[in-house]
Amino acid sequence: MHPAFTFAEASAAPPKYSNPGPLERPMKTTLVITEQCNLDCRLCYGRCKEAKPRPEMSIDQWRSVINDLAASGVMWLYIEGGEPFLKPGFVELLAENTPRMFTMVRTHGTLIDEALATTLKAIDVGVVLVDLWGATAQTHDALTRTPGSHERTLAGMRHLVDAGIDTQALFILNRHNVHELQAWFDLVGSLGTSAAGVLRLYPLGGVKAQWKELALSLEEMTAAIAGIKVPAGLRLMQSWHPRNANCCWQMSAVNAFGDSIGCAYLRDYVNFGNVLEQPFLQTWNHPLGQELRSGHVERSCSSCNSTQGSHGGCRSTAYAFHGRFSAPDPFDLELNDGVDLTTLPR
Amino acid sequence: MASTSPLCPADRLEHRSDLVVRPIPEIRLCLVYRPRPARIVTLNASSWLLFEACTGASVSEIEARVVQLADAHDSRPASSRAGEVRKGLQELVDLSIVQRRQPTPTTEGATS
Repeated sequence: MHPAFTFAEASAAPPKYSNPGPLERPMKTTLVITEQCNLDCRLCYGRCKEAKPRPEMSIDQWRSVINDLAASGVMWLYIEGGEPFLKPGFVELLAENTPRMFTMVRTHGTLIDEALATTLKAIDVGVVLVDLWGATAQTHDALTRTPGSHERTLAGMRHLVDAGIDTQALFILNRHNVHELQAWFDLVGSLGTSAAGVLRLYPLGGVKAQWKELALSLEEMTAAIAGIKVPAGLRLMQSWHPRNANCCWQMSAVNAFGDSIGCAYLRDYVNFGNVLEQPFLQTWNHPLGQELRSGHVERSCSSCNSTQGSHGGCRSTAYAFHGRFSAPDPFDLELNDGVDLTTLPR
Repeated sequence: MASTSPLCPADRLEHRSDLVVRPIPEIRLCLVYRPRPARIVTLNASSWLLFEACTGASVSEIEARVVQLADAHDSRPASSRAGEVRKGLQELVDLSIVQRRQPTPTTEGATS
């Protein structure tokens, strides 16, 4: 929320920053709290079903890490998984931190019953974002490879909305659900969610191997986004051109094993060090972290810069397609340069 | 944003006590977290200035102080600037990050 008041700017009109920061300390962190999950999603970025070479951090270790984050200036947590509500002690950890940090939790919602929703409201969780990938059970359950998950996710969303929690729906756009995009909007609009986000598909985790089968072309994605009729009362969240941000300037992230990875979407490409072995701020100051936050990119889209105040679009997809963190984001209409998004480079 | 009753010149304003305030001077913004109910408010430099002024001063005192600060750089009439300050303060109250200070009860007025 930005108050509209702009009076005192008359004294020294601040330059409109075109490249935010660099921040001296982090303000927002994504926690990949667990990679455990009770679904088996085709769109999983975390390889949830694979055996892990290291144990995940315990809740007590997370408690120490969050204390370190708070001391470093973080006051906004975006928590995702796996499925966060599978992590034993997670709700208690959340309750400990909501008095000092704004919290957003991303979940597939299948574990949320009335009692849990009531608890989440009571502890003042900020926003719950629920992944729902189809308007029909046929489409959603095929993507989660879990029969009945659509119905359980919808039930979870209803419990959240009924409890008075700011609930937002997420849709990862791909070849298997694009035909239901409008029906999905109509569905989530009828549920009472406050916002609906259409996310791009990232070539991460298990998705990589299925890319050819899942990915849409940029033209197909652009047409799908342009065709959305947003139901009254629902806010559309989307990051396609001309709102394609380079979020790196404000992001930081820690995965389930304590690795500081900059952003959850950089999880396969970046490791600034482990926060169990060094203070978080030390990882934040990693040279690559500084470079990613700087916005030093080869090209910038002027439209996206003017709406987002950052340059070059998403660094994860730029790196995935070009192998350089400074490259243009091919998901941006103005920066695509003929890159075929349906084919991953070798 | 909840709409509250309009501010009066004599209203004394202060921060809510449970806020978490995170100045980010390098980008001229201040994040304010209000935990109950949870909400993040991003203050631009102007709103941040007003927010900082809410330490128990009255609305009229804050108006006078801020108008004076901008005097050298703003050719608009002082009344117009004061009106903008009032609107800005009202927004902070409506966002529930600033509140009216309750008068301290005096012993003489207290009943047992």
